[in-house]
Amino acid sequence: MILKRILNAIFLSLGISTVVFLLLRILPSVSFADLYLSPRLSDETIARIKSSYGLDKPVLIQFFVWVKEIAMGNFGFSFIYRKPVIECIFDAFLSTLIIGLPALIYSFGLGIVVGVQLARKKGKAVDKFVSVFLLILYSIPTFWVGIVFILIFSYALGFFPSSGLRSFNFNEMSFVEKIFDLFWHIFLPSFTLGIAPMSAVARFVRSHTLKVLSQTYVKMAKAKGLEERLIFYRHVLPNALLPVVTLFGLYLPVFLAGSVVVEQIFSIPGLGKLAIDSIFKRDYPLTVGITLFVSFIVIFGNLISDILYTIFDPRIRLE
Amino acid sequence: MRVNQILFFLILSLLLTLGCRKEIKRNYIVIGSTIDIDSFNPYLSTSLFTQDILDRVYLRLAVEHEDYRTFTPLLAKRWEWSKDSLQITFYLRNDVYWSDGVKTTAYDVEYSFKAAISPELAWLNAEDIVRNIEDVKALNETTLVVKYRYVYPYQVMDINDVWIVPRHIYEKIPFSEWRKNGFFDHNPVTNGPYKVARWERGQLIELVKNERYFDKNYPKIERVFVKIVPNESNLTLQFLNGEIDVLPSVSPSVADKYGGDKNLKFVKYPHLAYEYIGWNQKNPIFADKKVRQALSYGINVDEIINVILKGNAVRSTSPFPSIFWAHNEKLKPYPYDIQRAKKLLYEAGWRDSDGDGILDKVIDGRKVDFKFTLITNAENQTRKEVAVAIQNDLLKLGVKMEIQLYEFNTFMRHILDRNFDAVLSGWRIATKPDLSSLFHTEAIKSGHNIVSYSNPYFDKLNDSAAVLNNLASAKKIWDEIQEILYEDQPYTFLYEPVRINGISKRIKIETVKMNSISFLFNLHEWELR
Repeated sequence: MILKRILNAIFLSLGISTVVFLLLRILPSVSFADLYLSPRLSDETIARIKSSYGLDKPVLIQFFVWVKEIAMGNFGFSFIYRKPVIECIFDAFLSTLIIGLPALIYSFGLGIVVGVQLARKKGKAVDKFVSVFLLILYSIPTFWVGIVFILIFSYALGFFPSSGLRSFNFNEMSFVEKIFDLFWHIFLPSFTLGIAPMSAVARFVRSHTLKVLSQTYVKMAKAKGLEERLIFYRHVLPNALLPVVTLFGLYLPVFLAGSVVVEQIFSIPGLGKLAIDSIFKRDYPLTVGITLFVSFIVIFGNLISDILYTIFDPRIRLE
Repeated sequence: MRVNQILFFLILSLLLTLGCRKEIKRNYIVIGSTIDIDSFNPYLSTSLFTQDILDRVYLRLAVEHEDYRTFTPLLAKRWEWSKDSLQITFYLRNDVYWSDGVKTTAYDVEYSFKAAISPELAWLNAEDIVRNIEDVKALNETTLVVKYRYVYPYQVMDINDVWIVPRHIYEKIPFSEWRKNGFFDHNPVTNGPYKVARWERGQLIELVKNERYFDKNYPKIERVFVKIVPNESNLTLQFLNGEIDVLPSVSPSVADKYGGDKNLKFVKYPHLAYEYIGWNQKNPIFADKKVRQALSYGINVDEIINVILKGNAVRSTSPFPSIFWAHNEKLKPYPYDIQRAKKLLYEAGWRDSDGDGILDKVIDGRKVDFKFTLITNAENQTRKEVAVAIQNDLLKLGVKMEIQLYEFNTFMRHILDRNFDAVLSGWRIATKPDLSSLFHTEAIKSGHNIVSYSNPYFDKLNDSAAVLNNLASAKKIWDEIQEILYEDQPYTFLYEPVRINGISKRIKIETVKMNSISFLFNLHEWELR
């Protein structure tokens, strides 16, 4: 079953990349548009440059070449970086992980804690206040949050650097200093990236916990005279947190999408920034490669959360 | 509670110590940029910013000065012209070394010329070189002979445009592979005042003093970082904050707002660029010269300059910017004159016959409203604001203009396909006067004559001026050519933007020269306070 799902994932991401591949070439735009800024450039030179990248061939031929290369495990060569697409993606993905993992951990950790606490204090002033606050956090756009954070924590207070992953003198640092430097740099971007998912998780956990709290077995336990804390932590929480596992799979694309914005603002050389650059420079092999990679990750993430679900909840089976 | 308090103070003190870091005195400077360079292989670069950086690490034969006519020795100590002027012999310095210790010789230049003209490489600036230079030959390590196909005014300029790259490194890869090989971007070997210590793509470039540089007095500042921050607001904040010392291309509003800051200075200078509206003459509305003149009279460019650009621009009158030697200074910008504009439109047959406030005219038996769409690229905030101002101005004439913004690559597609009514854009001009690619009839089909302008008299004059060797007599023809364009208004020439660069007063301003050739023109001479 799992094998079938993985195969499905591979074919689905190939399908998505095919669509992107064809769309990129069909849409009205110019590759190497920068070149045309020079009015003295002749058509022959432009044609020569394009042919050196294989762009002079008909779209369909380019497509078959691409399919053949993919089948042999070759993801092509980036025009702008002049190295294999796969290398570009892995380097960038590492940076995205450095930002994304802490964001993932804190948004789910904090989100769960806040959500559970709100559910316990349902109807009280703190619940109402925090719920509205969470809604606001969820609604404001990430790029705005990022700029405001830079303004406060970097520009006004000077606590954190506002861009990059490392200090200039990173190479001269000791190992401990390097770790310290890295955390110092990723704090703001990770924090920004995690805010919207955190509030979403908190709101989700709150409503699910409330749902479970209202179920008859909880009332039964209360009637039986079980201690409130015991009911909550042993009987309510495990059931309430189960759907968070699915949320994990659903939120992977949210993090990847968020990283596009966050990486651009904080100048992180990650996948999001790479995607933007490749699209604006019409670096077709890179754009298609990133699409393939990201769609695979997303589909795979969903698969993993489905598998986790079956482990946590024996009633559910993968079909 | 106590645990919480301790934790709180712990975090606070941690934050405070971290916050103090940037107070450390620095012996380096940081140049900010929203974009990275394309490559350390100069033949693969397309952006001007790349050129700005590469000119600090690679030496040319000579230093080109701001008038684009004066050249002073650099790699070449001196040069001699042959009697018939068809040949220049360059005598190279004997004490220039590549950063790996190999000597820079005339053979490097000879090889670089081969690269420059190689069709497999298809270098962007190859055309003039191929057309004008017959051969480059190294006689020995320090003597270089350049043979030209004919005598023309830009002989030194053309050979000086050839980037000199280390032959012993570059010849490892055939020309046809250059565009697809990342080889040149690892540990580039250079010979300028700086060498490349580090290049982390999209993040930073570190330039350090080249100990082998022939002039031991330079560079004064031994370490220079280029920090890449794609988000403009973030970049500007870092400049205001002191994290970045040099900020190229500041927007007029930022310069206006922070001009009074005692730690910063904004350096302004004109450069070889202008902004225009191109009227596509394939659209019958714009085929009549009177209409184009009327539109030029009807746009209040002075107000655009004062309000949107905060005064950081001068009026443009011709395709040669006012600092360029070929510019015709007798031309006065079209004044803002609604009455004259209305009169011209009336003469061209445009009336408001149906009283809807929009002019109309019968063209080919059909009543046509004076409506069109202006396109521009979405990335340029200033252009967006200028477009709106123009929209308002034209409405007062009874002309309805829509604005359409396109992402840059799509914008280019529309321009190349001539698929637009009017376009708001700009040119940065080459250092030689030549208008054939923009306005010559032959450039309608394949060149950059995007407005499909055609005037046989212009064509004739342009062809004769471009090859004239005597610059003084050429100037006379260029003046006449500009008068023709001024009369015909294929473009409405709007303004020549002033380039504004921010610089921290940590750097001794009196040592800094920024000009239209480069904002880092004499980086090696800059000094810290």
